[in-house]
Order: sequence, then C-alpha cells, then structure tokens
Amino acid sequence: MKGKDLQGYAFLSPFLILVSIFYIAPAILTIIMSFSSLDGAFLWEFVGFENYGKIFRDPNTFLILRNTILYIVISMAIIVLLDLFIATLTTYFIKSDGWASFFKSIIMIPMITPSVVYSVLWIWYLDASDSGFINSFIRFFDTDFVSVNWIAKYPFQVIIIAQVVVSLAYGAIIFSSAIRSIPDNQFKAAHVDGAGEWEIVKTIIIPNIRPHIKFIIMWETLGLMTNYLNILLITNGGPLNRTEVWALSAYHKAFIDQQYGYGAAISVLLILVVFMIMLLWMFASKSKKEGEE
Amino acid sequence: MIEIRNLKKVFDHNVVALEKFNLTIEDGQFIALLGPSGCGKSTTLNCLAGLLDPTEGTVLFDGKDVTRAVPKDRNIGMVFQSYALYPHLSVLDNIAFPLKQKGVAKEERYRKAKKVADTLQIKHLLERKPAQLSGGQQQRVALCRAIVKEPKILLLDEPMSNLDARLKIEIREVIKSIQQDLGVTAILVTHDQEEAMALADKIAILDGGSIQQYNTPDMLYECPKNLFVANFMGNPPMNFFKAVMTDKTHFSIGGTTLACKMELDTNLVGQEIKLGIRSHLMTFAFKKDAEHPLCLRVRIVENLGKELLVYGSVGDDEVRITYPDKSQYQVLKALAKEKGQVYLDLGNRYNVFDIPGGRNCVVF
Repeated sequence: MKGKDLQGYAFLSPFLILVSIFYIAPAILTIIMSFSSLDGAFLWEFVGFENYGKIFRDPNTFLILRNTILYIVISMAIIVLLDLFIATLTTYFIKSDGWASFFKSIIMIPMITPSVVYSVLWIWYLDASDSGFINSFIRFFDTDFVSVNWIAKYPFQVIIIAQVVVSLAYGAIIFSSAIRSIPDNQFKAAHVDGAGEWEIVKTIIIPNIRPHIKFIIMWETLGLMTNYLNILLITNGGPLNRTEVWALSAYHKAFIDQQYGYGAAISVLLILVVFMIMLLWMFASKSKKEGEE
Repeated sequence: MIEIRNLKKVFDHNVVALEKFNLTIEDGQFIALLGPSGCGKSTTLNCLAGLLDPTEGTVLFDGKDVTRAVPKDRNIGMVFQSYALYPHLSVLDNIAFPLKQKGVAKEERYRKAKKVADTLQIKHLLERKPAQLSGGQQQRVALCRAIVKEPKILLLDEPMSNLDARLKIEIREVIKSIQQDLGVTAILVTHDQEEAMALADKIAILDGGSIQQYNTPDMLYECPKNLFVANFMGNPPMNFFKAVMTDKTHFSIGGTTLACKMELDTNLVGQEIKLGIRSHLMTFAFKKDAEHPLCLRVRIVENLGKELLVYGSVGDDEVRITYPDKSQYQVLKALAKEKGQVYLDLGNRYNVFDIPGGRNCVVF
C-alpha cells in the first residue's frame, strides 16, 4: 500500500508545484504586501497594521460592507429559490425530457456567455438614451414614456438581476439531477397517501435534496463574495459607490488607485472571511454526520 | 367489488403492456397477479392505484367508474418492493402521513398510527428513521402506513422481493393475518408462485399482457389451462414429455406405445402432444416390467430430507421425480454415477397439451 501512496503523490506533485507557484506564493506575497505601503513607486516599506487600520477608518467601509452583505444575501436567496423552482418544474412537473432539456439549455446560455459580452448586452439593454432596448420597448406600448437611465437609477437591482441570471444554470442542473435520483416509488407512495403536489415538493423533494441545497448555498456565497466581474463591467461600483462590494473595492484600491498594500489588506480580510466560512461549513457537515451515526 | 373491463395500456414507442384485460375481484378476497417480469402485472396494479392512466377500458370500484380518479380518491393503501418510506420522517410520522394528508388532527393520527404499529409489533421503533431499520422492519412500517387509513383495497407490489428467505415467510404471515383481520380486499403482484399459492384465494396468471388463467391456487396447480400455466406453477416444475397420439386412446413416447388414461375433449390422432406430469405423481422401478415400461437415464440424485429428488432424461426430455423411499439414496447415487437406468410409470393423472397451441385437452 505504501508504494501505491508514493505513486499517487508522485503523480500529484506536478500539480502541487504548479499550485504552489501560481497560487500559494502569490497568496503569501499578498499577505506580506498587506503589511507594506507598496504603491505606484514600488517601494516595499513595512508599515505594520497601518493598512488594516485604514480599512476601519475609511468612511466608505461601512457602505461597502453593507452592499456586499445585501448583494450576497439577496442574490443567493433569489438564486436558490429560482433554482429549486426551475429544477422542480423541469424534472418533476414536465415529464417530457425533450422540453425539460430544451429549457435547461436556454438557462445555460448566460452561464457560457463571456462576461464581457454579457455585460455589454446588459448595458445595451438598459441604455439611458431613447434608443436603449428597454426604453424603446416600453415606448412601443406607451408613447409618452420618458427614457430612464436604468443603471444610474437602479444600479443595485441591475447587478443582482444580472448576477442571478448568470448563476441560475449551475444550481438548477445540480438540483434537477438530485431530484431525478429520488426513487420513483416515494412519489408513488405519496400520491397513494393522498399528498398534493405542493406537499410532495415540501415533504419529499426538498428534504431529499437538502445536502445539495446546502452545497449550492455555500458555493454561491463564496462565488458572490469573490467574483466581481459583472459588477465591474456593468456599473464599476458606481454610481457613488452604491454598488461597490468588498472584492471590487480591493481591485479599485490596488489597480486604479495603485495602493497595492491597501488593496492587499482588503483582499486578505476577504480571504480570511471565506476561509472561516469554509471551516464552519466543514465543521457543521462533520458534526452532522457524527450526530447521525 | 373491483371490476376491470377491457383494460388496455400502451406505453411510449407502442409497447403494449396490457390488452383486453378483464378481471373481477370480490370484496374481501386476496388476489395474486402472478407472472414473469414484463407480463403486465405491475402495470395492472398501477392502473388500479391510479398511478397510471389506462389507454382504454374501465376500472370500477363497487360499480363506480374510477378509471380517471386520482390515487387519493380511491381509498387504497399500497406497499412497494423498495418500501418507499419517507427517509427524513420518523417511523411514527411515516405511518401517520396518510392521515395527515386527510386532515386528521395530530393527536388522533398519532393514536391511530401507534395502534397499527402495535398490531405489527414495531411500537418500539416509532422514534427511529427508516434508514436505521432492517428490511423486514421497514416493510412492516410500510404495511402500517398502507393500512392506517383503513383502506378498502390493499395493493401489494412485490412486497417480499427484497427480503431474505426467512423474512419473506415472516412478512407473508403478517400480510395474511392483517388481511384476514381487516377483511380488506388485497391484490398482490408477485413473480414467486410459492408466495402466490401461500397467500391468495385466487391467482391470475399473466403472460404477454393478458390473463392465462384466473382460478384458485389448487385449480391452477391441478388443472392448468395451458402449457404456460403448467410451467409456471409448482416446484419442482412439471415434467413434460414429447409424444404422438397413435389413436384415440394411445400415445407413443420415443417408440414406446402407452394407453392414455385421461379423457380428452378433442381428437388428436396423429398429432404431436406434450404430456405434463407432476414430479410426485410418477414413480419408477429398478426393473423393467409392464407397469414400468419407460426408460429413464438417471443423471443426479438429491436428498431433500423428507424425500429424494431424481434428475434424469427420457429421450431428449429432462425429468424430475420425487421418490419417497430414502433408503435407496446410495443405490440411486451409484446409478447416477454410471448413468444407469430406471423404469418409469407415468401414473394415473397427467395433462395432455396439444402442440403447437399448448392448450390442455384433458376433461377434468
């Protein structure tokens, strides 16, 4: 057995080396950087916890934190609920495989569209001018309609909707394959026992796919925390920081303001939070298992 | 009373599962639908449950047309091969589930659930989850869940197929006794003829989506209507001999002409037939004489404890005979080793099937 172990490690080592060079090393570098006042002049001057202190003194920090939490909680709630809705419809209610997969392919389109293209589409849809898609669409029905600058007026709603649409497919597909794996006889038994469709969703589908729901919540939370590309491309955190979230602010501080040290400190805090959530999740699922045994 | 009239079920890609299916079941009877896999027995049960919509035909419960009624409006309980318990609910909640759907108050439904759990001796398991139970216990829970709402009809979809031999017999007893106590009409789907024989008042043997014979277990065993039924019922299975009718009262097996002791309802002179004889209705002797004219080449002999089971062949036909005299075990074993012969007496009761129709032509 030991020889087999060694073989495994030997095959893994190229990946371990690559991961170390391109992931762990930059991570350590980021941590070191967060204790320096590195900026456009590229001078490594160590300033201790100065950058971290700066985060707490920054008047925008509270707003950014609030934006981040709202963005994550609202998007995640909508994503998980819609995923459940779509998965139940396409797997349980629509019996025709053809239509179900057709529908699932459609919701996959945003996921496989490159972010830049996708964001440009949103900007074009929501364009403030009279020729913007939504504006001209509404004017088609209501000729008196005065064009609205959607992104400026509802920036937060826009980035949430855009993010939800991109994220839907993944969870919906995971949920629908989970629903498919529920033994058919459970549904039959419930029908015979007189359960209505809503009751079946509540007492058979949801409890059976509970582990998958937990996984998607975890996955989406981490994704929403660290991924800022769509926000960057659609609103760039604006107007007036109304859509600035934590990860995006690290990017802005480091690459726009060229305060590399400060940006690094913001990233390190984010990574710490991500790390803590993962630990908590691992701990929770482990103690759950022990509780069951 | 349950009446199934001209039921037809066609699945996707024109697979016909049932055709011209007619069956009448009296109240309080225990019926088995017996047949090999793919014969349409589960389809019939699902149509009775309302889980499948028949393509044509009607299903009547007490004269009322329920063909398109949803399962919950049919007053049925159902037990599945895979138990189909709700994994996240406790045993108690599983049993009380159908009552909850009917809107029975919490106290009342728990009281009823505990009562049925008590009759099936699983009262000590009420707080557990299904995953913590053995197969036999899970099936008891499933039975409780099926009978808790006091249904008129109990549908059993191969409830014992997932259990080992001992548990099978245990659950068999449970099912039989609750059916007797409740007086409920029960319909059992099974591919195990022994199970069907043991439980059912009447058995419908199905093949290729239609009923081959619908009668009491005894009639199916003694007077099978055709080759399929004869083949399916009984263990060890019936022995078959190829023969030709030489005149109205004689047939010949591999050149040996014998008198036909059964009265036939049709003239088969010159035609090929198949004789079907139960293993315990034949006997053999070690010396050839007028009573024992047929040669049987002995292949294997098994000691079953209460009797011997001798495997051999007459011409191309494989034969199994039970032999009550166990003292001959060593003699027969030696014979089997050297492929020796014994001499058969076909007995006085057998079936005569025409070929190729396979109909039993004997007048019973």
